[in-house]
Amino acid sequence: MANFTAIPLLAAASGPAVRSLMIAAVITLSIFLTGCGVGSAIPQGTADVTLKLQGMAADFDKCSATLLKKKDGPELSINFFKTSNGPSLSLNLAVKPGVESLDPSALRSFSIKTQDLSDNDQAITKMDPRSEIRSLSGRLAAEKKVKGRLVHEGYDLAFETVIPTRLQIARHNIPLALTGIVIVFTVLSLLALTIKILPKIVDLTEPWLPQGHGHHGHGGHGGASKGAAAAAAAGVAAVAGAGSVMAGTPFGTDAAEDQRVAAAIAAVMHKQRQGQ
Amino acid sequence: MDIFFDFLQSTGFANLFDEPLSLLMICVGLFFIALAIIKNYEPLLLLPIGFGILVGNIPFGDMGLGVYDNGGLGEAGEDFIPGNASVLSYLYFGVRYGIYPPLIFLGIGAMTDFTTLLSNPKLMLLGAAAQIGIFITFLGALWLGFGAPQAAAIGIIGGADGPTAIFLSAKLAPELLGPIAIAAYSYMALVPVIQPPIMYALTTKKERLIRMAPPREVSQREKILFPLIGFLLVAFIAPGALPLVGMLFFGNLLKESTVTERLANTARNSLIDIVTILLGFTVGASTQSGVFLTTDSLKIFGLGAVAFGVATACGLLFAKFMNLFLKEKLNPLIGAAGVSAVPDSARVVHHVGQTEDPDNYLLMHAMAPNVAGVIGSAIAAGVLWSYLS
Repeated sequence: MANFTAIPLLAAASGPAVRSLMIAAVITLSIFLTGCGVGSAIPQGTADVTLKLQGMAADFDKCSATLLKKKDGPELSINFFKTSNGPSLSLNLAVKPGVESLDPSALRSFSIKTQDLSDNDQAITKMDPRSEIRSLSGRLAAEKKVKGRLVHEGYDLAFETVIPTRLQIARHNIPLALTGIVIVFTVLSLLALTIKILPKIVDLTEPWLPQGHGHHGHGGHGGASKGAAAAAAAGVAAVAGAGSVMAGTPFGTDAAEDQRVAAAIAAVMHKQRQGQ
Repeated sequence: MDIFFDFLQSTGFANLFDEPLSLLMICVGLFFIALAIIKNYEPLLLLPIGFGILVGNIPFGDMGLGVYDNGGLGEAGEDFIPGNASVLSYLYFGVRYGIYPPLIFLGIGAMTDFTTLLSNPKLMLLGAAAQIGIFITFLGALWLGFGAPQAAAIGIIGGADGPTAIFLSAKLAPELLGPIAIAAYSYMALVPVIQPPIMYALTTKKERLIRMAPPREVSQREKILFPLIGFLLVAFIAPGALPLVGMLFFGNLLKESTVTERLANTARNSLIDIVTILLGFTVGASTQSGVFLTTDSLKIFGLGAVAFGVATACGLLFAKFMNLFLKEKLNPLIGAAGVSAVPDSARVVHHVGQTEDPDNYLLMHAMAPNVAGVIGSAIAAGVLWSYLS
């Protein structure tokens, strides 16, 4: 973890070439971790099916299952796939509450979702479990293994899979969490770098911008003033004291108090600057 | 006489026997209202939410008055029957479809001053560090048995950003929207209670006494360019954050451009107030006892506390980590403001700093990670949304 967080930090502190290299490394790492996100930590079962449904034809040879707790009873989602980007098929089996041993009569409802990720085409078909599922067996409580066969117009779907434990699911998603952290750091680091060079961009655009737009001085060059400091403090106080959706605390800092804080900050800053 | 008895059967008192837990939720609603009025805890939010809880938990039987009685509005495969939809369900539409949060971000953008962030951009990293809490809680929620989209929606509570939490829940786990929204806003209201013990535990007195250098001057042109460049950068790298970050930067441009003062004023005053009323009230009304009082809600509240604590700790520790490399040291307390509870956590940092040194003014320094946290949590939400939708 520390390695990931140190990269954008060092990037912010180093020279331009090193920064660029480090940013490239972070983005590469993000992509790599994203790729790892579809990992093998989740147990995968076998599937044997040639599907022709809703005009989509596809072969699947792997499947995985997820068991979700819902208010009306557990829902078992069995996903069939061959490649991560190709067509996919999900069986959604809504199980009656309290059922541990699976069979077609144990289902409340049943639907099939087909999705073709290459053209984003998806369809959901609700079906009657008792007439469409030829066989289904498994235990949700102990072994958490599911085996079934679904026969519907033109296709025959046989599968066997294991429902992963919650710990396995959490471990499987660690790359996704790491990727998210890296992306947040990358974007905010890039924003920080952009802010760092913002005065230079302002200087570059100077000849093309109309005069009299705000005050200049770009304090990065050391031209800070008492007025600017007071303006900054007053700005902060305006935000802190505004009736925002998040304002109002037991500390009771109302707008008047914030104005006093702003005035005090401005005075302190002025003194500090005079001492420099 | 029959008419009178029929009337009695339709009263809330009669229906209370079917929904006794409504009484408990009504007590929760009254508690929220008391917190808002007596303790002044987040009154702008807790008062509408509290009253919404009262409205949502009046046992109205099968009269179809609640936020969930939508007559098939927006339901896939359902025919919408206008007469079957309640007024509350129309108002709730803005929550359910993530319309209100971007509007609130517009208002936040129009009232946010990025000056301190622009003058000290490295503080942006503290806003990023605090978002680690979101992803750790995401893993924790998976471990507790929630599905990945639900876990992501719960994790975002760690961002301490109510609108973002509502936005992501509406997109990924609408069935958990009520508990997540209530948890997010409750913890935001409790920032002054939750954060100080973590601050004291993770910092030494010497660290809390560090005075930071005053920020440099920031020109108006920098303030105008920042929302433009910032938006383009964020939107291209993390397009999922577009609805929230786009509105945030748009609102800020309205403010900083100085040529749209009327629009900026509307966004930061009238508009945000209207949306806050609708959002708070309908979120409160969505906490009907049958939907809200579940073990999942308890887990969500527990995970929310973890998320908030971890986010605060990560911000503090990252500030200490940065101090290893910096010549001009940061006061690590400002790391706690990386959670995006604007401006409450910045105020808490300021007050904790002043208890050690009354002449140490940390408010303006803490506002930098605070507003960076708003951007960071919106990006985190966008990333999770794009992966899990």
